[in-house]
Amino acid sequence: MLSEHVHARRLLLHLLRAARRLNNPIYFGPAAQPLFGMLHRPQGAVRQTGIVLCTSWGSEGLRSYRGLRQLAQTLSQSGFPVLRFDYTGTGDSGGDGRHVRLAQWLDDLRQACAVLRTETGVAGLCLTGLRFGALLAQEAVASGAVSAQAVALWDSPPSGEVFVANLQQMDQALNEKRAQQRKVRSQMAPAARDELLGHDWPDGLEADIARLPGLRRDLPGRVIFVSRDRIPPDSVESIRLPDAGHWSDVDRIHAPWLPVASFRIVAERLSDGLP
Amino acid sequence: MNERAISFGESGALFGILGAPEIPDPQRPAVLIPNTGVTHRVGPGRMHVELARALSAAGLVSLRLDNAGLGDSETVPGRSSETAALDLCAAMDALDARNISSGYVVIGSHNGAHDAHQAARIDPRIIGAVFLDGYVHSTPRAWLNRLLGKVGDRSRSGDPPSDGLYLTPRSGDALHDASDAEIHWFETPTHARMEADLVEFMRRQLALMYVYTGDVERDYHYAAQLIDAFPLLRGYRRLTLRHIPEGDHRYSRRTTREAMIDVLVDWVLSVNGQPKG
Repeated sequence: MLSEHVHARRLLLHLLRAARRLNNPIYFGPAAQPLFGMLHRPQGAVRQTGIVLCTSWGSEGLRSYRGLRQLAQTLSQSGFPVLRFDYTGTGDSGGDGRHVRLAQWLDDLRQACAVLRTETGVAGLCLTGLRFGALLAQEAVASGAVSAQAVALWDSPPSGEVFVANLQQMDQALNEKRAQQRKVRSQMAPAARDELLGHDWPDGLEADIARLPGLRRDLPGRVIFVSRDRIPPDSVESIRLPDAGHWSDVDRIHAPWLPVASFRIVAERLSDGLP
Repeated sequence: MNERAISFGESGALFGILGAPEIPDPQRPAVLIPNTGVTHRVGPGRMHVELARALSAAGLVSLRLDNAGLGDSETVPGRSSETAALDLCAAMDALDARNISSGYVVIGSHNGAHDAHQAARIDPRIIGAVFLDGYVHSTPRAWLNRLLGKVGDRSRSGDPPSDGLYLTPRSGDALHDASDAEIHWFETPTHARMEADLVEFMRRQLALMYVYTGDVERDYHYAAQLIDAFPLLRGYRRLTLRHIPEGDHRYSRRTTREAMIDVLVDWVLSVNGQPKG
């Protein structure tokens, strides 16, 4: 009985070591202000397509951090090299979030794609963007900043303007909830003009994001919509999911986004369609 | 920016970002920053990143870590929120192996404060700890305040939900769709247990900092409640107590966050001395 336990523990430690070897932290970009990323090495037969995951903004990015890691691992188990990374001024990357603009983040995405190609030698790319990340991925491909064979748009907002409006509504709802819960003498100070939901939200960035269009008809390559209930009726390709994202629910604003069943479905579908 | 990703713990299952000044001073303590809630090592509103970089600018080493099952750390069977203090011990082992410092300070918020307390109990390498909205123990005055508050403020709809005071008792798909309130709290030690721990902390001359924001006002009612709950702390020279009713536990307003970071850096700089077992 004891030896079984010891054997199981050894196996477990071996698996943990293997998992660590497959997830490689990586810094890239300018030395003074490097970008932080996590490269997930593929397992089994290596595919020719690498996947760059584009995270969402601020509170949505925090909610989905662990989930995107899990998605990356699921995809890497299907043979895809995968890169996750933090935009300038966010997460573990360098830079001050008070001064970021969309052009910087588009360039970050371009650099991330170049790093994935260099590190893994993949021939093609698929950008998989969640929420704001979907808008960014679309813009990167449409503007020619990135050349990708496919973009997967997960719970993509109808447009940048709608995304911004949704964040502002969430911010207002959260502030009202807090004001209701707190005593008069302990009300929080109003947020500064350049912060939203506790994150940096510079004016220029808001204007940039609000200008992002909805579905682009001029994208080269495949466009795959991924969602439970946000798939445009005229989309050519889509992956219907069982899980909702609860992106407009103020009570879940800090709750983890971990739709494991959806991860499996997305990995299976992308594996079927990408070399 | 001088930061490096490190893996540590058994089989390298745990993950963190080591921040260091150009020339670290091994006589200074290193600062450990565990997770707040289920947010990964960057902290709510990126507070842990800003704090670590401010510490680095002040000449201090820090490690922002992901506890097992959070952020980029692997899920380690047998580990739970109740054993997260062991992740802090593993972090100290990793930094000891690099001869980085002569003692450790833990800065923990909410469940991170719980982790800091539990780690300080079991590991004598810790010479200081900051507890942001950590354990709260009641007093007769707090009880009276609560009663009067309920009588005088009937317009409000009962006690607010315990927004954000959460741990990660589960992982994976079980966490999906869980609202904040559904993810349970850490367990506050009994008054007797807490008092015994404080006696030990004081014997070891730990530097202690307790901060309470308006997010815990339904339990923490007035500035000196901690002292009233534990009179043995009165006169303890290594105690710092702050009450920030207008603050929130996520430090979501930049002005409050920056002010708190300044306070924390100054406080850590004031902590010195070798661990006293």
